[in-house]
Amino acid sequence: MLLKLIKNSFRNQKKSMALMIVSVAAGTAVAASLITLSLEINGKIADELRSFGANIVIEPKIEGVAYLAGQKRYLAQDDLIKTKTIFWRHNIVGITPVLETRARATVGGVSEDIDLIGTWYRRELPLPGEGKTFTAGAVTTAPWWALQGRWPERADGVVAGVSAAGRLGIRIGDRISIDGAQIEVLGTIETGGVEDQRLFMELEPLQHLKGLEGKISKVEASALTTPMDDFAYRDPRTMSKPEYEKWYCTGYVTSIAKQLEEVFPGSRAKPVWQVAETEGMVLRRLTLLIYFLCLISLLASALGVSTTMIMSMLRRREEIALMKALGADNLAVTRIFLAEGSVIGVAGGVVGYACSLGAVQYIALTVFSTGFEHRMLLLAAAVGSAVLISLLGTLFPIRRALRVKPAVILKGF
Amino acid sequence: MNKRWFLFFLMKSLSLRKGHVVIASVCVTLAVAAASAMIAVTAGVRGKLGEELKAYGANLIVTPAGGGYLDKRLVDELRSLPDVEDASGQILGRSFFGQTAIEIIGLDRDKLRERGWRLTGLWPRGNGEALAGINLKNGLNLEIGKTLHLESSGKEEASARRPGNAYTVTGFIERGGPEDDAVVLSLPDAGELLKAEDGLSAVLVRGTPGKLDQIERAIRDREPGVSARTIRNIALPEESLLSKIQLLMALVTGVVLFAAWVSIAATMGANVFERRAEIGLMMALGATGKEVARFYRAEAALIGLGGGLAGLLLGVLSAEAITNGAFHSLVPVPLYLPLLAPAAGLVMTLSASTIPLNNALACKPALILRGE
Repeated sequence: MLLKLIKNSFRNQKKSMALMIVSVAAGTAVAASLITLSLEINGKIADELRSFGANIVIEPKIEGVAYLAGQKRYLAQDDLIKTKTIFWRHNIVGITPVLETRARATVGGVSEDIDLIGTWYRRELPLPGEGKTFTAGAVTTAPWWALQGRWPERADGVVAGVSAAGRLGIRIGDRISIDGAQIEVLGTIETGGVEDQRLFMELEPLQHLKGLEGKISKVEASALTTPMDDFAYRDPRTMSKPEYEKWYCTGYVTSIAKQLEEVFPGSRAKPVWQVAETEGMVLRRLTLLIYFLCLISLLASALGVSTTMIMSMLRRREEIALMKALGADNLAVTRIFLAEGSVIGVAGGVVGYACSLGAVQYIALTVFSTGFEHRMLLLAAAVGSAVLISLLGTLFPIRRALRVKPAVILKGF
Repeated sequence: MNKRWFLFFLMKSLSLRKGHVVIASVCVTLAVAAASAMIAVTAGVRGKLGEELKAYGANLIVTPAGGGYLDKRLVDELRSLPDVEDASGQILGRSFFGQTAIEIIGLDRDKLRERGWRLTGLWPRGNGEALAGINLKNGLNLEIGKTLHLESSGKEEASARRPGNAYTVTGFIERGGPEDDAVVLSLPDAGELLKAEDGLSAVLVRGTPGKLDQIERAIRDREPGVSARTIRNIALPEESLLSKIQLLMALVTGVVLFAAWVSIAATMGANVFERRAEIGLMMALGATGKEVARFYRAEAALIGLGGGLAGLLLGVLSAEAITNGAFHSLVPVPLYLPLLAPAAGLVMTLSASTIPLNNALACKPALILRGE
């Protein structure tokens, strides 16, 4: 009986029912889109902020007399791969070894002492214990570098910083002498920093040239981090054991730095504070902004759906009065209308969720060039809240309609 | 129907059906509020985020084109350029602690209090006080309160030290860059130590993201003998982040606008549906379709206008609350919003009631009144 009544009600008032379903669907679509967005936004913006470059630098620890004497110390290149074995390995999104040397460059008969840097531009490293590789090198820690020409992949060749190239009159294709060895210039690089005045080589050939096999002078790492809070700023040495464990196992830039330091014996890992602190602040603020916007839009769409439901229900007071006049009690009437509201809620929720999937994927692909994860849980939440809102929207006008006398309403007042 | 009757009907219709009018207006208000809040925040997000990104530091560097030093007055001149938010001078050079070469950075130390400099100890208050890079603490066995003797060249005799070359270390700084191996002095101290007189090695400029090319051009035109370069590691990611966030907000605004329109359309549609009997009666009593349409449009326009104005107010308030919550500052309301919001309310209600109204008008009065 109930089923038949509802079926008839939908069949006889197609347009009105369609309106309600569309309204619920629109509300659900906005709500589901914004919830998906707010769940994903933190990660997306964190990824985006990593384009500001390395936020941790690992250098050899050098103190006292050795420092005063200007002694050089190195880290072992072999330890580099171990950075992908630490607790926060999945947060390490970029890593670049750097060997800083000075060399005598001779170009067209003019000799000059110049900084010569050995590093990787792009290098696929095998992940320990897994069949996959990950990308390391300057593209991961300094994505703003603009390379003209090409980088000497695993081979001899020099890339000149633009200022150095201009000053020395070096052009791509020239052969220059570095410490007596003739090396071809394969490209120029614009970094927008002091590196523009330097020359670059692939790491291994430079190590060979300088007799520093397997040695690097610093490591730049780019890590996804948890924004620093008051707890994170405390000195780990003053923490109690549980506190230290909590600190160590939270992805603060300081704790990830500590873990990286443990990978390289005799090293000191420091956060690049300018990048790390600003990143945390920007991430927190942007995420908060999106949350607030979601909240407001959620409220607005929930209330918007309710008003449509109320509007549609008001019109059916006559129907309610007729039912009552024919002997239906309040409970029976309420049941019919609530069942109807549920059907509208489910239909609208499903349609709205489907629309939100499209909208959110489009937004993610347009803005971040990667898609968002589908969350089935969200479908349940979307349909559930759609039903809830349409039920609330139904209940309010029904209660009003039930209170009045059938005869009065049927008379048309 | 003359004007007075028209107004009379309209007023009666609104006052007799207060509940319905209120509900429809609330719906319009909410939709317009959500949309205007989104628009206001989208319009302001670039500025607000730009403020935050300022902490990444300067995005342009001005250096002397042919070596030597820059004139101190250049800082003020650069500050007065359009789109330049801030500029500060720096003196860079090398001094000696015994035989050890130490980089000297002379800068306006008020800048240090910005984010990105971690300090142990105290900020220096005057000249003659120095901050040492954290690596020097262990390297040179420095302590807070100790005196640091620096000489402008390594060969100078110890007896030739002038009193100006002794600095009290007030604290250690950590930044994660080359500054960690350097001594930070005030501009006058560094100028004296490095014999730069009143010159500057570089001026760091913070320009509005996206306007750097114009600033660079302006500097080149105005100041001969200097070279201006974009600091790519700041400028590029900054601009990319800003444009992505703006695009994101614009797209979300689009989604919210669309949903707002649908929700208004549904409410207005329900409003007209409900009153088909009324329309039938009006037409049966001799009203023409045009007159009936005018009547309902006027009603929809009033609801749209009222809802639009209330929505504007609510939307601006929520936009301010949002930005205050996220950025601790208020967002400027775009000048076009006070016009746009009521207009949008009007257009949305009118366009939303057109289809159901035409449907109702197309029916025969007798059929409607019979309830079919």
